[in-house]
Amino acid sequence: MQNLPAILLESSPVSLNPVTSTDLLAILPVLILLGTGAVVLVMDLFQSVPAGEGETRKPVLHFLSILGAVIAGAQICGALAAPDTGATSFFRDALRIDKFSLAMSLLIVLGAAFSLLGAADTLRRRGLEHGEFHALILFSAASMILFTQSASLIMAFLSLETLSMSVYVLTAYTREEKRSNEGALKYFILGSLSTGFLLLGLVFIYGATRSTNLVEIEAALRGGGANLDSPLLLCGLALTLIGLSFKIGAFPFHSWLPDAYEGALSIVTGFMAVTVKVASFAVLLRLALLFGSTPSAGTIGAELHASLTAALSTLAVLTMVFGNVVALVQRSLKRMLAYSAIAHTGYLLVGVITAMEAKRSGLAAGTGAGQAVLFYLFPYALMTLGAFTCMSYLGRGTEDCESLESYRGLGRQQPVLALGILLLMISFAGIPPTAGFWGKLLIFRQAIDTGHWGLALTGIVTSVVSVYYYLSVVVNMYMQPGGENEPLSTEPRTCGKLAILLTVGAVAIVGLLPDTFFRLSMAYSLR
Amino acid sequence: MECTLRPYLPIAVYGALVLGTGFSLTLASSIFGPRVRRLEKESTYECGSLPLGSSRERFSVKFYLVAILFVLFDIETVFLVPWAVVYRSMGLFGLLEMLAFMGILLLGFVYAWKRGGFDWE
Repeated sequence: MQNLPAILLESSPVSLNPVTSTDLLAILPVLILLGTGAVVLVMDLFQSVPAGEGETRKPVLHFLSILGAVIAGAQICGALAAPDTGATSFFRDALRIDKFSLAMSLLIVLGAAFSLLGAADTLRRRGLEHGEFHALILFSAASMILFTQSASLIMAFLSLETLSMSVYVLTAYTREEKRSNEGALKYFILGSLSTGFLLLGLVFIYGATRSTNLVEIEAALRGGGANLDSPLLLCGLALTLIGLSFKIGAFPFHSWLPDAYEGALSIVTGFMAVTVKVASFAVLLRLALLFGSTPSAGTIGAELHASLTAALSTLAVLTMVFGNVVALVQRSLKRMLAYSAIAHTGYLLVGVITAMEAKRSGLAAGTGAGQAVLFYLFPYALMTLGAFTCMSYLGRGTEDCESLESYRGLGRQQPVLALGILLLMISFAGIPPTAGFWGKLLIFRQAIDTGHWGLALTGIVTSVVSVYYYLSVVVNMYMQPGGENEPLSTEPRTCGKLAILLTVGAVAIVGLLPDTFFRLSMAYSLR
Repeated sequence: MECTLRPYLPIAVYGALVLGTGFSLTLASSIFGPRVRRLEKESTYECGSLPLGSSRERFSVKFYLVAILFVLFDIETVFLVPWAVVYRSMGLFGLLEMLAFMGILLLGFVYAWKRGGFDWE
């Protein structure tokens, strides 16, 4: 009996009022997102639909949901700008809010806001303007914020499930389309499987450390190997890593990703590629630093560090090589961007490894770990959102044009749209004065500094390979004669123009002023 | 390891008993029981309505909707009953929490109603 965890043996008195107003104030952005989602959902039920041809039929729907996301974003910005008081726990240590989780939350809200902004035109064109779309985006963004801020394993699992459910439904949003259903079903089945792995991993971690709370787990690790069951802990970590790898789409666990990304609406694909990845990497980085870099009294710390580094390095190399090589042979732009999303996961994994190494070898006072991941994710989010928003305008009627050949002559037809895609593609490829270049530079630089030459070399070589497929889009747009299949693109309206302009503009600004954003990512890195 | 598994010994004994009883009874009835092979004996239901066809056929997705809506109200009851038991000791706080919970469920109810979740056709 003495081996049972303490929580089962002692009957702790339950206080009647566990939630205080400070708790609720701390998750105000989440509450705003959830509230807006609910209001939009119910409002749409009572809205009569005037059959106006070519007009946005439900402008209030778009306006309200974007407004909610913007207010939540402003709230998070305010919290970010406030003086740093370290991490604070809320809801009896279920949530832990620090600058890092706030910065990640801001990226998530940014992704939601831009997706809603860009979605207005696509939804109208396809006759899919329902409150469910906006509500699902807002609900999943809310649970992603809780996921990045969760400080207990149970909270992390619950919020991951909630966000996954919303994203599964969003993938199947165009329910008349066969491939959309196919992608969503694959995503759902493999996602459920990965959930099983993750849950079992969390259970093992709990069994080994006797706690579900990350702070208490850290204390147990620092305490040394006496009461830690090392094979159990390693097993748990491996299973958790597999579960999270499904979500970020790392190589052997990526098989759902191209189909889900191809089947979903372009806007939804952009939303998934940005926000799910940001949230999952926030948690992965936190767990990797917790288990891989905590100095412990016994040998357990070194053991965990070695195993985690080996596992993550293998994943990173395989993901970078696979994503970039398979993207080379894709004939559809959407699929190509899906494989490139896999490749970017590989680069980000290198960032996680270097953060682990940096934290372990001791940080200078006032700096944190993981600034490379943060610095990479910001332009990556903007580029992905911009690219998929641009893509949502290229199509005939309700059908998207996705093959690379169909973009021939776009440079003449839609010079502004083509210029936007050009800038985003060279930034994706990482050609020097762009945002994508600075992100990659920082990650590979840190990999070399921490002695991971192999990872840096793989990253650089595969980035060079990636230039080919990113630029083949540009070649098709500008340098190929437009054949008989002229691309019929629809003209972006105010919302869409704003979304494209803002994302492309922000990518250009990050490219020109990397110092400012580097300083910001240093300030918001994980302590 | 012996120490940690010791408390589970009664469960193992219980499991062995359950499996043993089940298997031995089935075995005994198949050895000693009389065999009658007639048309009624071989049909799906010995008494009652005759089956119309195979039960492994596609059926309407509407049934799933009914099942999901049932879960909605089921969960409500599951939480209402324990709350009613401790109603006095929970006081106003319990009432407000319950109202918030039921408000969220009501939202789902209104949504299902307006979207036509209760229309069969």
